[in-house]
Amino acid sequence: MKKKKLQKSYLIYFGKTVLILFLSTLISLALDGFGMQTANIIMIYLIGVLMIIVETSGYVWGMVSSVACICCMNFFFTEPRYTLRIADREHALMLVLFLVVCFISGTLMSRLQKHADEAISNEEHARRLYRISSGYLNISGMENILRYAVESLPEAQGREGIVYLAKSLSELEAAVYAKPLTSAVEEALRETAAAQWCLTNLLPCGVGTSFFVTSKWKYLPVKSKTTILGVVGLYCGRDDVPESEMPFIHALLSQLALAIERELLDHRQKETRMQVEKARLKNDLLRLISHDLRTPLTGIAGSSGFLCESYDRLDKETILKLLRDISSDATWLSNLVENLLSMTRIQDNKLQIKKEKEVVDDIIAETASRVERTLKNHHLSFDIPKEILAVPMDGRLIIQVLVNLVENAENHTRKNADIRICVRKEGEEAVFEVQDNGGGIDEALLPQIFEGFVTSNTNGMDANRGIGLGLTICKSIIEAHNGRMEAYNNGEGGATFRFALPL
Amino acid sequence: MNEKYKIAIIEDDKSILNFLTVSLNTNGYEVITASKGLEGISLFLNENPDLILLDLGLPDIDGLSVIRQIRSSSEVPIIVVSARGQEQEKIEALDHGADDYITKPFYLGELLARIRVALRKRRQKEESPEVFVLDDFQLDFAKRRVFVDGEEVHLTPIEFKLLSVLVENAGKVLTHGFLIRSVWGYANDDDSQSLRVFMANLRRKIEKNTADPKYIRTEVGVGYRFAEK
Repeated sequence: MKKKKLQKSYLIYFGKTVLILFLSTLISLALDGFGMQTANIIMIYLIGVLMIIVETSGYVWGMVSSVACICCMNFFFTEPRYTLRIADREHALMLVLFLVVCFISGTLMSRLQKHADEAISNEEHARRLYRISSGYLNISGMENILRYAVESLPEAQGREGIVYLAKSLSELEAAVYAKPLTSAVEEALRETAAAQWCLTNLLPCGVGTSFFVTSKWKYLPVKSKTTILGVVGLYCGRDDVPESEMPFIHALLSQLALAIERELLDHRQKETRMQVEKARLKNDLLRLISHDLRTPLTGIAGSSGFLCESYDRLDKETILKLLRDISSDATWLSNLVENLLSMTRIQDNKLQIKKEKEVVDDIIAETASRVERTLKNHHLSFDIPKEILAVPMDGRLIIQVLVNLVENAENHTRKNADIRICVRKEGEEAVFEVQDNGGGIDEALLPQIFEGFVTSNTNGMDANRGIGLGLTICKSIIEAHNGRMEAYNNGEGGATFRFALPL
Repeated sequence: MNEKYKIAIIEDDKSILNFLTVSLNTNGYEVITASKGLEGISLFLNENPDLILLDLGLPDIDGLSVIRQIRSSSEVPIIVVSARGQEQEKIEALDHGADDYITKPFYLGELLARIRVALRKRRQKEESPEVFVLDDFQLDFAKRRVFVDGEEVHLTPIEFKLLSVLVENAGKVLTHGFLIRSVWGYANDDDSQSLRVFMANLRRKIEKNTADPKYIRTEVGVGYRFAEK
């Protein structure tokens, strides 16, 4: 294709040259007929040559035509006419000077042309650079930045590109390249050693360098002020990137470096914020734990201390009562510890749930046996489906949720209230409800009831101990199962806590 | 009991050790103690106890190694004590040869019941009853028939096999793995879901209230246990 283009421009330039020469000669002959001086004729030919230089945008044609002009002038206008001999020495000098003038103008012309071309090319580069940099401004996410880089590189400077992000100072992440996969990129993927070398040595390698000379790619380091961020490969084939293009390419690489750095800083900032948040939550948790632990411990210490001192003076009734109190406080503490342990697993951002398909009967049975001991004044009943319902869940955690809900119901309802656990299948979900008819929840508290420990201590009532922590954990557990949880006052004068798990 | 059974307690926490020693003594057992795993093994070798209570959270060696050591020379009943929420440990202990487990914090009544079961197993190893009876439940091994409340319950062959394995080991917890191996012959861990469904079906046939089962109790995450007398 290049050859054809060359041939076409060849023909055009040839045509132009011949035409202008012809015209110049014609005009000169005409003017000569009118008795014009030779000096003017030279000017006309000079104009002709200059026009040829402009039209053919090159040095060569201009020079060829200036020689042709001399021949024409010699032939047509100098004595003896119509010969190529020169009688007058002055005329010879004139022709030589003509040649010199043509030479100089030709040189000037072509330099001017080159500068003009360069200016246009620079402007084009600058425009592309601007377009690409504004592109980077709108992109976030490392993956997107790298993808944008490999897509914009060919567009900007016509060569396929491949980008490697640096994982550390000695390791590269996987290559990012534009889809679809081309054979050139496949070659690059086979020679990752070259990119690796570029990373560890902070120097370009590949085409045009003395390292990995057999490669058809040129690898360049992407550097920031303090460190190397990655490696970019440009497909060159066999020919190196021209020196004049390198500044533009370096500019593109700096943009990429800036975008990558910005992304890394962003990431670091987010992490710092998370750490601060975590620290704050830990403090809140510690505050709550201390309060919730103190109360039952005070009870245990007090009761047992008193028993030790005054054992002989007390009647059996009183002793048994104190002992029962100690026992229930201890159970309460034990449950709190269970909840806290689950809580720490949640706080680490990932709740480790291991889902298995558990049969509802098993879950309810275990819940029942756990709460059995504490259910002194309440009636517990169940309502489970006749068909076997197996639900994917972490059995222990869901049992913990149910136990929490039942114990909450016990602690916050009047004596002899009924508590019922219902389970049924609704569409693609298994719905669990813990209902009671023992008084209900204060409407004001209802919207924040799952919000957690920060609000549960606002009234400081020790009798309300634990409600906040338990419900927050329940909600987190359910949400970790991709389920939903809610609470409301039901129509039977009590509250219902309801959660749904996907099947 | 004519003779006092000797129970070895291997537990590192002093208060728990105290409490156990006193309670077991009060209930008619002789108690010997060790607070470290290695100590416990030599205690077992020297004193030949009738039952071992082993805490899984020992400071020096891993509870499983203790079980392995003891099992290499004896079938003495072992009950492991573990903290709540450590299912994996419990299952491993049971698969390594422990007979039963109890989770902290536990109630003495439960522990005593399990000790009784474990000791009984030892005595009754040779005699296997033809018919097992517990309250309203009756299982006739020879005739392969099951009766609840006087009425016969029809079970599929697999259900019957499952039930017999549970009843033969009444009072003892059987892991999912153990049950699958006994009934189906291979241990395919992924299949515990079908086991669960089988058990649920079985319960529906035998129990009056499947949410509050009298006979077949589930130990969620670990396995199943048939109630004992």
